[in-house]
Amino acid sequence: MFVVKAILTAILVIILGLLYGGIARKVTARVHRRYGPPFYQNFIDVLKLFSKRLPTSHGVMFELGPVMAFGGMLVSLMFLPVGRGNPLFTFEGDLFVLLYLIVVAPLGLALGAGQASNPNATIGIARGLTLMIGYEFVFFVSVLPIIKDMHTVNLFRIAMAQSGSLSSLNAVRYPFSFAAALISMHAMLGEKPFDQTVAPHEIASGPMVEYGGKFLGLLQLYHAIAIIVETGLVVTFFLGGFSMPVFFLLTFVLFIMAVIVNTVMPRFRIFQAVQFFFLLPLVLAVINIIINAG
Amino acid sequence: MMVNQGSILIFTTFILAGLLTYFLARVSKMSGRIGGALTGLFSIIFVYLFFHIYSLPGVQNLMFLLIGLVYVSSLFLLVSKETPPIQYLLFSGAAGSTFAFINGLDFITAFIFLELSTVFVFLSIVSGDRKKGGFLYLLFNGTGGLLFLYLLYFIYMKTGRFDYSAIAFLKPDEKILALTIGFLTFAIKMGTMPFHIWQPYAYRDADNGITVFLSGAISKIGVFGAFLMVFLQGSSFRISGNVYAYLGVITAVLAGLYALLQEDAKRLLAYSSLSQLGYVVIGLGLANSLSISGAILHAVSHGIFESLLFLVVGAVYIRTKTTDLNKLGGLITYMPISFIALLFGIIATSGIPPTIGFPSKWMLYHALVINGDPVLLSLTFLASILAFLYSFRLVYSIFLGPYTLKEKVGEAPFPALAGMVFFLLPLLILGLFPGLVLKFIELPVVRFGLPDFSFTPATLKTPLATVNFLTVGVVFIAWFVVAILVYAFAGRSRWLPVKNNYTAAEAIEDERILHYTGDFYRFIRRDMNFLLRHSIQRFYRRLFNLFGVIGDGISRIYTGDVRTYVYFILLFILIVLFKIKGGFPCLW
Repeated sequence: MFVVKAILTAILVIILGLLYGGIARKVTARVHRRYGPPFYQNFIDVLKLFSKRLPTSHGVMFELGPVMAFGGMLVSLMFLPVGRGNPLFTFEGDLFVLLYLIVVAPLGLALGAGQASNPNATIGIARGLTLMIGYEFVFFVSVLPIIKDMHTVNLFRIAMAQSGSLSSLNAVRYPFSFAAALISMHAMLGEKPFDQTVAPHEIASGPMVEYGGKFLGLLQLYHAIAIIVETGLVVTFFLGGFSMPVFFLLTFVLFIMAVIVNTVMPRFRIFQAVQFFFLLPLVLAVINIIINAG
Repeated sequence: MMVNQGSILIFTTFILAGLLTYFLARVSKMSGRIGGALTGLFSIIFVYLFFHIYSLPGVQNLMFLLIGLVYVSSLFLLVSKETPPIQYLLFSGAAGSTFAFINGLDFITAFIFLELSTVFVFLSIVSGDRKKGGFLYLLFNGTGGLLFLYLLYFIYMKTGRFDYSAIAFLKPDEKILALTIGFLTFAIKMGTMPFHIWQPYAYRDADNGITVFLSGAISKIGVFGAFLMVFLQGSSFRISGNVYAYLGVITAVLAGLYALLQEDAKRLLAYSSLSQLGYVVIGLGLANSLSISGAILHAVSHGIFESLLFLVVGAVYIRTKTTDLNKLGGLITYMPISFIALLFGIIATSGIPPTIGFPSKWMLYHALVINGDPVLLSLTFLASILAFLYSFRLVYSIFLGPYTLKEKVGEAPFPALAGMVFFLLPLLILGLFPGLVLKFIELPVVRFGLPDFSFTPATLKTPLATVNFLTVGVVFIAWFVVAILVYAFAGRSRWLPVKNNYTAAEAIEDERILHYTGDFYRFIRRDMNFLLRHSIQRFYRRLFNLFGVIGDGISRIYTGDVRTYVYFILLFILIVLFKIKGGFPCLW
């Protein structure tokens, strides 16, 4: 029962993630006044990539990197409460467990791309890790008032405490923190102006540059799950307590908001991005901590 | 008044073992290696028998086990390379005095063996090629020893006793003074931030085997001593505790930042070691049962993963003769087992779940949330992001990327591999069952007993949440198996040489190595300069200059010239006359 539920959740999230990605491509195209690919294009891409024969490889870690990224994201998904009726492992799903599990996937991608030994890939990794100092830190500071007031770090309990009226939502109670968390979610998703890691025009899609075939397929699946986990983290903390369909709807809304911002933004230089995080979003998050303490 | 007999016995055993190895190594290299391994193993068995008979209380017990593990592994690294015979003797002495220190239950034993370990490590470092680290080590740790001597004197004058329980007879304010001095001593030993200068140099300049022991075991003298000071102080500690917690968090963040920018593997690890010990200081500073359990657990996990990392770097040095991160690269092809060991080491360093690094950090975070200081909590989190960054730099620059050396190298020597396995087993098992370690310290931390915190071998429960680490591990492994199955069913792949990759249609000659490794985090170096410019090292240099100026002033008094002294004598007579007359003499 337990295992079946876990597998079903994983499949559902992968399908939804790919769908979100496809719709995002459509939305981007419409903002650019193009027609754009069909919304199911990402499914076609994944099927095509997995059916490619003999993809190129540069070594063992190069092949295990995407596996580690995909597996790591699946593990993180298990510790995120997906909606109200469906607490998978959330009796133990603790904020710190999730925050530490989420970095397994980037680590896997970084190790794999590291063995490719393409300078583009490595520069992308160095940038991605540097950017992490900015967004991870800000996200953590923005959820501090919540865990302090609720006196728990159990994600399911945090989500459930917000159900009931609209005013009990954390987004309403901690508006500044919510703004900060949204900005850091934007960087977690790697949308412009925070797409220094991938930067297609500059470093040829960074860590992914050498990947093709089934490896790129695995990375696509990883990205699909990552969309839901990263937006879902914000939804759990700030808009939690709804049923599962509403949970997915909210993740979709947040993701499409990020995509729309992405279509009209240029890119920061890497350290400008980190500095930006230590100016505006951090100040927003700190304001809410001070209001909350006083 | 008496020095602990058991400590003397342990120390003597180790010195004899060291002497025996020394003479065997003088006879021939092979006999030295075999003799070193055997005498080392015998002395460790002796220690365990000894301590089994006397069955010491919790934390000492735990430290014995940990230091024993580190001792055996660093000995294995020593015997798997060309080690000068004298190093065996000095290493044995350092190990013996460490064990003896942990065993002692009075200040005088502690003092003697603290100083002995300092002396042995100092001699060991200065008998190598580079000596700067040795002298810095002696300067800082010698100062720490003097502080401890003062503590000993202070307590003896007030109570007339030397044992640890004499603290109870002090007045509250005397107690705080005494234990602050004691804490400072051990903060120097751990390298907490204003006293950290010696550590990167000493770790770099020491023999690789000794470095494993320095980081894994000698720093545990600091942890054990600091724990003892907190333990003896009890409830009155909480006043000064927050200061220590802040010192710890500053150490963790700044050392992590410095670690990013190092170009030498051993220096990077030295800073990472400092940063991880910063967490221990945070836990001790908060001084409640949860945080202290977390600190001790983190000390254990630090002993395991940091020693593992130093061991792998030592093994890489044996094969490549360098620890410069800019010169290494692509070793995964030739040293796959070392790569796996290093990979698990960095996973534990960054605190990622199925390894031992995670439960200890988890406990510290919960203690920090309960403590409720947002600055402390968020900076601690920042330090662990930095840990993730520098550990990736380490594994990437050594093992990934193109192969940069001229000739092929072999896998690490067998004893070194055995040492890695010794560390990997507890690293994984204790990550799933952290309660096994916490059992040792259940009794001593009860007296701090603030938050209501309980555990079973696999589960930890705090007021904030409950986590079953075994479940986390099982879920982790299960989904990785799924991912590997997806990967395996998707068909085979075609291996291409490393050079054959995307270069935007630019032709690359064979001699040119495309490798982005030097100055890896250059963005940080460039834009954080305002922060990194003000180092404590400069402060010490200014202090040094100040002493120079004072000395210059004094040398104007003692010139060695007779005329100056004549003037001084005249001046003296004038002052005396002035004093006798009681004011300016009246001439008219």
